[in-house]
Amino acid sequence: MRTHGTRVVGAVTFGQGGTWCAGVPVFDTVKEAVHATDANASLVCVPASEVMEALLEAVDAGLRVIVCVTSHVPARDMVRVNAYLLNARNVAYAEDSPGAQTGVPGAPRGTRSYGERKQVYLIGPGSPGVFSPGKCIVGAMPGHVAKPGSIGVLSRSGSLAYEVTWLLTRSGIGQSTILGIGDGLIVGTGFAEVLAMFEDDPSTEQIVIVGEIGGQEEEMAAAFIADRLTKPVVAFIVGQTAPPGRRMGHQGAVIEGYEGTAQLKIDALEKAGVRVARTLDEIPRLLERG
Amino acid sequence: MATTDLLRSQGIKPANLVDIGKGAKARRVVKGLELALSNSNLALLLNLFCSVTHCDEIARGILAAYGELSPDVPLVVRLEGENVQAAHELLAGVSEQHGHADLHLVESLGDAVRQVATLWRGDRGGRGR
Repeated sequence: MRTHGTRVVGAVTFGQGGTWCAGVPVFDTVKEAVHATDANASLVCVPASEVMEALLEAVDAGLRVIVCVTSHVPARDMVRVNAYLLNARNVAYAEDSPGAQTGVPGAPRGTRSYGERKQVYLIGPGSPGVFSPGKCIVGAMPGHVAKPGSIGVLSRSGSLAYEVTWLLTRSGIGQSTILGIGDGLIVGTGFAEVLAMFEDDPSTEQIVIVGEIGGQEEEMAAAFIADRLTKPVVAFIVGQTAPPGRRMGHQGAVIEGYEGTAQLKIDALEKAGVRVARTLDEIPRLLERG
Repeated sequence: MATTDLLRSQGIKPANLVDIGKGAKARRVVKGLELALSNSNLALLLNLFCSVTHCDEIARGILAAYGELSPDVPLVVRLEGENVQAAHELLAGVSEQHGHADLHLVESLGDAVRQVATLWRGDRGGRGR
């Protein structure tokens, strides 16, 4: 991470507080670490069974960006984490602007108020991380596949995020930020929320969405695109030949009943005006030259 | 999953799909290969874009698998990501260590699928269909 501009200031492992690792101090708790270092982001890479505790601790410590790379976190744990996050956001929102929190609790995903001063973003679990080439990386992406530019890359799968980024780089197209929302059944920040951030980000001009079967992320993204997004979007959906009912490697990649098929997602995105690539190689061609 | 989509688009039906997952060590690669080989009858396509697990770790797994499993189908290997150079160097020596090794090292996912398609056509030709 350091080679790509991230300032790593500390590590947390309970029981190892007071020691040093790779030139940074190790703390027993996240709170201690944040207090001592003023860290504002964290990378969670503990085993799946411990992710919930680690995430709750990170939220409590006041971190704004929490990236979790661990895959196969129990869905029930994530339900609890997301409920906790929503509550933390509302508390923060209420503190910031008394009386202004009406409409925020329970608002459907994709329609919440964005960009609050105390917003907490959980990326993942099962995320490759967040990477702005030439600026900063929090996560585990192979950095050499990216180059700075103006395309926002948004993906559920980690390896596909690298694959698309590498393809763009080889085609001479740079990226502003590459973000994997995670391969889990339940994740923190969704496509729609990240799209809202890309919309507000002056360094992003176009967006590539790499979706896959299962869940409703792509459909919610389509709704957001139709509703608010002004920047051009290209999408690619994998799992077009996936058998229903089979979990395809990722926890969240499963067609359940008639829902979550690649075709439904493609239809929803095309209806929202998104150009959908049929193959990976088509993606660079579909981006507008500018 | 993108790999199986691509194979299907070439008219090739994948027998199975194994995702070795993040942070896999060489042992897990061997186990994954064992599972994948259990019902592969044409070729085994390995497509890995490595981040948490480095490419050279995967390469060590492939080498170990050649020693333990002696696969009877060709392996088409596409590695990209962290330490890809080291992995290619490790795999370049595979046929010296294991004389029977039928390993095709390719650069891109497209190449890998084309290589499997070539093998597939050769296989069909061989059976006189």
